[in-house]
Amino acid sequence: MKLTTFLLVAVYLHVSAIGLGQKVNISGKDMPLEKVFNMIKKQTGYVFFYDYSIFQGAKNVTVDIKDGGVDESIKVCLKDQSLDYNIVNKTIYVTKKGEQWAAPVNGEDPPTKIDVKGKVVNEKGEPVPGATVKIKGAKMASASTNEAGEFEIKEVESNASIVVSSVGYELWEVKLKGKVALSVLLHTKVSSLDETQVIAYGTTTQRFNVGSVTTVKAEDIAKQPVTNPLQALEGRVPGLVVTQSSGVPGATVQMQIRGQNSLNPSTGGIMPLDNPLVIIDGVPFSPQNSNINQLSSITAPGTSNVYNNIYGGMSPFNSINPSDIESIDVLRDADATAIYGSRGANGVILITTKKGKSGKISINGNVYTGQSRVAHTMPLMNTTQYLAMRHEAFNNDGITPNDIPGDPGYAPDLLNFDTTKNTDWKKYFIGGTAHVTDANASISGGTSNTQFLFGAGYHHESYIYPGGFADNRITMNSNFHHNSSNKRLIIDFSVNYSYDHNNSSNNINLLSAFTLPPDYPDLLKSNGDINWIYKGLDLGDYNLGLSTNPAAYLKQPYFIKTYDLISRFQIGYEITKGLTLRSNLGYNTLTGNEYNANPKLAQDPLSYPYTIANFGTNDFKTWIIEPQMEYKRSLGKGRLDILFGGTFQQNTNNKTIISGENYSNDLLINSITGAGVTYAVGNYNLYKYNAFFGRINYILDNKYIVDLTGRRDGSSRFGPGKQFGNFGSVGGGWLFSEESFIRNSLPIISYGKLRASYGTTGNDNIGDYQYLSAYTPIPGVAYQGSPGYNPQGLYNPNFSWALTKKLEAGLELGLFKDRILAGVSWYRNRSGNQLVTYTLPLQVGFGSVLRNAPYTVQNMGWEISVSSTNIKTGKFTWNTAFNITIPKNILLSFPGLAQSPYQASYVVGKSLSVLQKVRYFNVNDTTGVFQFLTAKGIPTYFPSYSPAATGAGDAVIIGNRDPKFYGGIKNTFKYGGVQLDVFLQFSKQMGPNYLGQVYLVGYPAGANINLPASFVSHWQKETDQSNIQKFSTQFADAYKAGIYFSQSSAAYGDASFIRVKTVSLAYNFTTNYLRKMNLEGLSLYVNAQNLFTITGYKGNDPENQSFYSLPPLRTFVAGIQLNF
Amino acid sequence: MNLIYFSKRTIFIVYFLIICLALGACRKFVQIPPAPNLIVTSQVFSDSTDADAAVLALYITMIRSATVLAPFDGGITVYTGLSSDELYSTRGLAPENSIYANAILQTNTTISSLWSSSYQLAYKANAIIEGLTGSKAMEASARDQLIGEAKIVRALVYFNLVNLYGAVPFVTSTNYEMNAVIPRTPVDSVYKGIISDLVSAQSLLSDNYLTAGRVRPNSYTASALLSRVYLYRKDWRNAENMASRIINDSGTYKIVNDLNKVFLSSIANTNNTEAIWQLTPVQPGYETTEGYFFIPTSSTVKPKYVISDFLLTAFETDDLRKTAWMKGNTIGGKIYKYPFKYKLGKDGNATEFYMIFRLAEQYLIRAEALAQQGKLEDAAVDLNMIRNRAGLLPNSASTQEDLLSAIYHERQVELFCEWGHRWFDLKRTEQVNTIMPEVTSSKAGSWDTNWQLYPIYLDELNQNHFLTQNPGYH
Repeated sequence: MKLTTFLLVAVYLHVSAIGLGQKVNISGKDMPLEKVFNMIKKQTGYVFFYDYSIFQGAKNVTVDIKDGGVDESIKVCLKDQSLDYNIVNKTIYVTKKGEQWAAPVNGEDPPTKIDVKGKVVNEKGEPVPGATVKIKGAKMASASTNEAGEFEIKEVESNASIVVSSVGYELWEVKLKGKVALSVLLHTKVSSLDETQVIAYGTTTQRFNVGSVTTVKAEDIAKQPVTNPLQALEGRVPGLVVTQSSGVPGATVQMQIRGQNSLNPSTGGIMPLDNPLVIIDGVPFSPQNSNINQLSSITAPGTSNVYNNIYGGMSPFNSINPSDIESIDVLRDADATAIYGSRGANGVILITTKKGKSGKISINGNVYTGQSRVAHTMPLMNTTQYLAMRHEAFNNDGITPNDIPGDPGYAPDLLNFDTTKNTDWKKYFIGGTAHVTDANASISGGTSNTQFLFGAGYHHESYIYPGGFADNRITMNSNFHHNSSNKRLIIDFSVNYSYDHNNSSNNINLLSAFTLPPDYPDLLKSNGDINWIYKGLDLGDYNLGLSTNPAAYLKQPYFIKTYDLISRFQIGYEITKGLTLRSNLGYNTLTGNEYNANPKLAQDPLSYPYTIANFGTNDFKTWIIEPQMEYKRSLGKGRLDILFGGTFQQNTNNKTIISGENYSNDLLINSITGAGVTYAVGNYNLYKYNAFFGRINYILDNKYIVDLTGRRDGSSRFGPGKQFGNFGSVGGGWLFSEESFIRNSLPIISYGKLRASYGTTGNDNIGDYQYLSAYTPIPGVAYQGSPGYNPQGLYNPNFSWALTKKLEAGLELGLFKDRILAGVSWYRNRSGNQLVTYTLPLQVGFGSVLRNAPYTVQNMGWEISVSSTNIKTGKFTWNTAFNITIPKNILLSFPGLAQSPYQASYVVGKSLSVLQKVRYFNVNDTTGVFQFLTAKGIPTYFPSYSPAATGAGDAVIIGNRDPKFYGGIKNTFKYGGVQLDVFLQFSKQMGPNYLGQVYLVGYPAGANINLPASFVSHWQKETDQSNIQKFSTQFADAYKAGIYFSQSSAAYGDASFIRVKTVSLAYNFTTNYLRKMNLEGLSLYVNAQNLFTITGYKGNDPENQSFYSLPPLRTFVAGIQLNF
Repeated sequence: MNLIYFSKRTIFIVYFLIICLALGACRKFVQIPPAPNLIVTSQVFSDSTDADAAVLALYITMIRSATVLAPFDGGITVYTGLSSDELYSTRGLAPENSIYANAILQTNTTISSLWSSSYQLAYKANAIIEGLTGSKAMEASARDQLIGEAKIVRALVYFNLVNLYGAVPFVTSTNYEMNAVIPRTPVDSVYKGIISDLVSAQSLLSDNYLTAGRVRPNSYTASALLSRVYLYRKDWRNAENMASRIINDSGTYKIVNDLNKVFLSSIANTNNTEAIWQLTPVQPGYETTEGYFFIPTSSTVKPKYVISDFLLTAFETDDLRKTAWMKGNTIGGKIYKYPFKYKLGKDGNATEFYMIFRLAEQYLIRAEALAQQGKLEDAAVDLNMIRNRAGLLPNSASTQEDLLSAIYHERQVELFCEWGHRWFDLKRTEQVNTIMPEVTSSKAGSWDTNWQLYPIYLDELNQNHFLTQNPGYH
């Protein structure tokens, strides 16, 4: 005390509150003020903050207080003193009169070493643990706060500046000027860097995340009038390719993170996608992204090449209401995914549903309605053009059209039909308007301890086809959250349920019915019945490409009803400080009930009318139990977070199809009971999975981050002795912007982080029982009353875990106080010895076997995302968010490729989607037939499909189907209550065009199938120069050349596009108006999806690249959102 | 306080135990039983009922398609009928039309199904032969019977493959690593394998049929295919012997005089002494697949497959088979004739069985084998057996050449639209390049001698580097 240099002392003792009252009893004469303060502190537990200088000149105190209040006691003690005080919570600040606490003291003090103590609190008065306390200019942090928010630094120069920083808070800085006790109030930072980001088994923020994670938030999903939440991700996440397989409601949406890792099981088709793991509120989504249909329909056209959609089917995600989703997090690198062990090789998608918020009861309503239409299709020939084509084709063949069925010249479209009739069948079948209506309501609220949310939604979407088809969905969601007052016990419970009924046609030929000859007779009679006989001609029998009068397709029903229940219960208890035990219990069941039928009324009475109905049930169930233990504490100058846990998971999939045939009457066809003949097929799969995992996360000084994860996995999909595998990752991050040399030299950098990770993930996404040699009964039939057993397939007891090794480095930057946030990631994933459905020639008996294939695939690429606030004035703001991904997929090595079944499909050093095609040359101007080039560049009519590299063929590499780059750009403009969002999606890629698809159909171009009007300019006579060969009706030279053409370089082309994916215009009513209306919020909006597309693509749509299936639809909706 | 502390510790310990258990229980937890619809292979071949079911699967696979033309269920009949001079199609299906026009591409999926289904069937037969050969749990006689049946099926598969495609990979095991790289096996070696299977089956099988009717192969079934194989190999002596073995057992095998009863069920109609091996339809509600495809639903409907003028004019005027085994629908003044050997399109009573081998063929085989050996008189007797039933006068050919061409002709009209006999005979007897040019040009196509073998599907060539395409296909 004799030293004035000890200007400040922190009197800062933590006293147990137990046994303390609020009353003060002090009695004495001439007591030093400091002693009195100590007595009050001891009796009440109140803490004093003061500057020692206050005692200079302070008078001793004589008081007699009995059962006095704190405030009143202090007042008595400080009477006649030139001191002020202030009580905040349980802290009493004492200052000299007229001075602000901790305010700079006038006059320079000689630099002296002092010890500084302090406490860091946020606006709510809660201590901030883990905050970094640093002396300005120092390289290292000097201290970090403990759980109570306290810190102490020894031997600090008394004129130093202290900087306090913490996650999500504004920086706090003060010049010490000799002060030794600091009370630090940190203000929460408003930056997207500090918004909660969901990761495996927890949450973090972008600032401290070492992994590669992108979050798509509810507000971006809400602006898109989509049925399937996956559609809302298109173009929004770097590294994620999302493709809508068809514009038919309910159709599968393909998605892939960072490229293809595994080989194609069928070399004839399109690459299957390595689907990411999808987890909804901690529960693995039971069907994942597999198709839930067993029966085919126009949504699931099966494996026909013609639809360019061989993985199409019913998407399980159609049962999830996009409005129920709070956020979708896409996890890509090893750091983020390794903790998923065997399942994370293809990335992970975490879907988090909405939760209740504390506060007053809030009721939210949102309704929109609108229309969808097919955006762009190729015009077809009219009757005049069509008839000219047919006559010319017969003329080329030297055949006179006749009406003898089976004769090469058979042409009822020329001889029997009314050739003056001109029907636009495209308009008839896919020219309609679909109606969409969506309504959602929710109620939420609660106290700080208990919150709830209940909601319900309805979605209706009709088809653009005639026939009254529609998809209807009802969803219900709820969430209940409770934490005890001391926050030690946490209970979270949520249930989401949905019911979807999607009905359409089961006849996939409906998709291509628009190619009917334009002079084809009316499909229906005037009474609405199907017209089977036209001028004595049986329309059910006369066919090319279509197997019956297409009106029948509309009367062959299909429906799927899906019931989806996702429930999750989480309970956590903090047993001692920092140590929490938690358990997740999850259950998901998704059941699809399907039906299709071919009633008599849809069949040609002149054929064998034979009624068939199929009843399918596809039942997916998953339960999961995940006990976890988490320990958090401060360690040194950092924060340590350790997580251990285990997983028990079981999936079952039970499929049955019951078929009924030979119904006596169409009226009975909706029941199995009326069937004359019935039989059933059943299939059952069981998957069990068990793991132990751990993660250690340490953040030092808010600057250095280390992440270690590991997982030991067991999966029932592997044979005995091969069931277990180990996976792990290491990640590190450096928040260099926290370094003072950066702060000082580059002040425009408000945030900067370098991060890197390396690790392994596995893949057990294979069928069950594949290691087992087994037979299965042939359902439904018996030979002389006895059953037969078929081998279930080739088996392989030897396959085991395969690893994907993921390496990633990233740089994240925030400039100008985070007004610009940018991130660049470089990744390199290598998959070796991958488990694949290995193609085999059919001569072995089956087309494939599951095995580890000896190849390595590398997916490497750059992902860049930038978001910025371009303009922010009083009323006007303009924000931009941009992302682009530049991927590169190559087959790194494949020993023995030349002798393998893949010799014609893959090339080492090229992408897995490499296109090896015969080069198209021209239409020979004399013969009028397509010509191609041999490997040596010589024109030929009959090239060999084999790759030139094998020495035998003419096919050369013409490119690959991977996108060269893709991404999206979003601009948001706000002016007062008006908000305009424009989102553009782009992709540079190559794909099959409509020309190849027209020739692929299998009929000569010139047969009685209508063609795109562009075929009108074609080769007609010698010396004609054209890129369309002569028409022909026969299976002769031009037909063969057409098939070659469909496999040639000319069948592929640029499929790049820029699409105005989403435009959303909303008006949010002002607060004044809302107050009058007694509302919390009201907005009116119009949204458009797939508004228009800029593309040079030859065909309907560059996204699904199919001439015969439905392109993604253009949708306009208008809606209103209410909140009160 | 103590209580709370204790309970916390308890919670902690319980948790710790759960996590330890998670580690320990792993091994057990992830071991799952086979799915309820699976029977482990070792079990299948240690029990005669299960092993029998594996064999029955061969027949079910062959016959069950019902509404689809599968190779062993009408496919070979129809597609070779289109390729040759027997049939044309009114269905307007592109792959069929190109088969008809002798303009098959190596991407023709209809033709490729002949290949793929054959090898699937061969795999099943191989698996049975392998599984049973090693099985000690079964009684020898039961095991021999089943191995014999599987060998006959395997031989039949390769007989058809070698005639459709020429040299084909001869796959006789289930080892897919090895089998995936087998190149074409020379035709002679394939036939050697077929003969070896059939000779073995002949001795493994009993002379009696195992079950009611003639729907499970017996030792005569092996002889029936063997005689055909010897005929194709021009081993006249053995062909004659094998045919005689069957014909001489006249207690079991006798020509059915009524042409309308030749294809009836050998169970319902035990007098069907012509049948050597038939398959019973298995799809509920259906008869034979050929019946389903050939017979129109009513007299006003065009048949799907119409008999060509080449075949129609081949019949002699008084041939009873023209009326018994053919029928016509008249539409617009034009008659469309269709095969009517099977008389039920879809009935559901399984009164007709699908004929694989029948006695008439054995007479014709023996006639040809005898004629080739210069035993013209004996040959004529056998030939006239068949002519007689068809209501025709005995053949009076006096030279070997005339007699042989009479036999070829008789085969054309007796065995039409059955199992590709016509197509195979044209090739075997080297008439193909004299007859087909005219036939093909009538189909608006042009004949090339290469078209007598079907192309191997492109994917197969790509997936087996050692496989080569038949000449003429690119």
